Amino acid sequence: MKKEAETDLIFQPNLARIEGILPQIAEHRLFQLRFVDEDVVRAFSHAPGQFVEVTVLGVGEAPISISSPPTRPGIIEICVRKAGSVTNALFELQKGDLIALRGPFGRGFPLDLFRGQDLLLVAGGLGMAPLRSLLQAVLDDRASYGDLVLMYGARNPDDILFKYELLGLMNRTDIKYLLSVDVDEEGIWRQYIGVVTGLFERVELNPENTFCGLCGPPIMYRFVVQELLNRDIPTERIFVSLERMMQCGVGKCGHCAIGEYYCCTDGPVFKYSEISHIKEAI
Amino acid sequence: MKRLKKDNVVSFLKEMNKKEKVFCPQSVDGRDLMFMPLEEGVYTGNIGKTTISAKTVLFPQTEEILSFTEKSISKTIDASKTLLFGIRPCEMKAIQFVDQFMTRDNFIDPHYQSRREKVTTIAIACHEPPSDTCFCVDAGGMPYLENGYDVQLFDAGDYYMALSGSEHGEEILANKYFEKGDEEDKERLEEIKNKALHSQKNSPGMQKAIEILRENKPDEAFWEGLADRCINCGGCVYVCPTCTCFNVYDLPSQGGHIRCRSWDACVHAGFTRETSGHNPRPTQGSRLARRHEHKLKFDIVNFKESGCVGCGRCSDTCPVGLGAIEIIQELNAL
Repeated sequence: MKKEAETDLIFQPNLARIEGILPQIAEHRLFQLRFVDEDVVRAFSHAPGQFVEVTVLGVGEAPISISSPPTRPGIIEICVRKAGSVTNALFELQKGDLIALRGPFGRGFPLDLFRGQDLLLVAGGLGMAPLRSLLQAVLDDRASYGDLVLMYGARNPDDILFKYELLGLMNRTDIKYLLSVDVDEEGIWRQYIGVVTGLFERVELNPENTFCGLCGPPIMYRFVVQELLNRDIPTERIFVSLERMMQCGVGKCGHCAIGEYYCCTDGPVFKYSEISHIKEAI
Repeated sequence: MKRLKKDNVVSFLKEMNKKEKVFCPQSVDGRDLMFMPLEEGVYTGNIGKTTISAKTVLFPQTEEILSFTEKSISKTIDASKTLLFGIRPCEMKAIQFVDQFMTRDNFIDPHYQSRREKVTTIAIACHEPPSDTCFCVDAGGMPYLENGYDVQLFDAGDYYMALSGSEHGEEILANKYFEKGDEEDKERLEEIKNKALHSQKNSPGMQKAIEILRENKPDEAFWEGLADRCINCGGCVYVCPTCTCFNVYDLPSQGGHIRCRSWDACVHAGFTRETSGHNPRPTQGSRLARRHEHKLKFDIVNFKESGCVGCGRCSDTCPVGLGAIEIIQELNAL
């Protein structure tokens, strides 16, 4: 976005219409949104890992990561869990209803840096929502990247986001897609059962040219980062997306501060080397 | 250099108040000294140290930032010309610090900025510390200003000596209430400055505390031990001239809704709590550490200067003795 415009724009959302609602797993829906003003549609561009502030008019605002890739402009997809006041109100809305958006905000995954390199994406739980943007961006421009591995750990087989879309990756030869569930009470799961780090035995990573994109709960980061360090991946090539209460999105309200950083402007995607010295980061 | 007789201050302010909104330290119910609009309290001539700083003018406790109906959204910016009379040098320094924060990374806070652009500052140097908790010199500041103000006044008994620090300041000094001084004023000014510099006795040791934090000396037990006393009232944050964290919320209003922001405080448990219930700062010790590390460690990383100006308001206000002075002393004892 243009710098001179940011003074006016930072707190003012633009109206957007709900163009479609796709149910996901329980309590999760994918909302497809489009700005009402076509000039705003054209001006909007984002990096995977960035987020928008979603306003349900009269209820409030919540930060939600963008699930669609920059390679498919026009419609902005957000995967939302029904959790707080804003998301509960969002779930009451129908196709055609108006909401408002500000953004995109923050620092996303650096596609420019990733091009030509091997990529390992590791998602845990709802962490697949922002990582889907990165995954699709890479798949849409597949020839520009090296080897691609996606590891996705969900709690159980019913908790896998974008399940059918991701199933389609199983037969592709240009991506290695590994899926794990923590528990399988019904005994129906034919893939790996256990925590996501268990999947590391099934891949060879080249420490010379592998970049990693991680998105999941803090506990996952602790273990996955350790796996990566064991495999000699440098900390500046490990990118983690952190979650905080990002209210204003522009580094002013203070809620998302992490050490000397603000998650909403300096993150939410950080190099692990940038945050490893901050105790409360992960 | 000019002079403003103390007897003429109220007349001068009343005249200015016709053109712009004048704020100055006034007494409320004969007790609290507050920085508020002229004639809402009683101007007694006591500049002192107001309970809450002039931050309330540039960054009000609550303000509307947007209004919306079902089909339109508009931004609410209400900024009018404002004169801040009687702010102290530490407050001016705090305003300059907040200016940096509110405009960092090209994200300019439109509400703060629009007010800031319309503010005139008349600072009054501290010829002696207004209270025992003042430690601006220890905090790397001075009881008078070198720059940043429009007009700076120095207390010379029954009149103020007035210096201008900007073009707009020159215009103000052209007002009829500012009279010509005599030859000796220059000498008198140096005397006042010198006396002021040496009259501050309080020096808790902020530079050493900064070093101690930089070396990561305090552990969890240090902060948790202190936090046992903290009742997380947020008083330290609200009175702090450089604290600007806020909470955003929507309210119903005539014909639609408004979005407001209000002061928030990092010492509250809910400040970092996410919708999922997860709280990255789960203990009072971690929150107390945040508040002080923000000022004495992270602000130095980001702005090359501490976010504490040494006004001592948090120490005046804290009911359990956990203001900046006490924290700095505890750090020094490590």
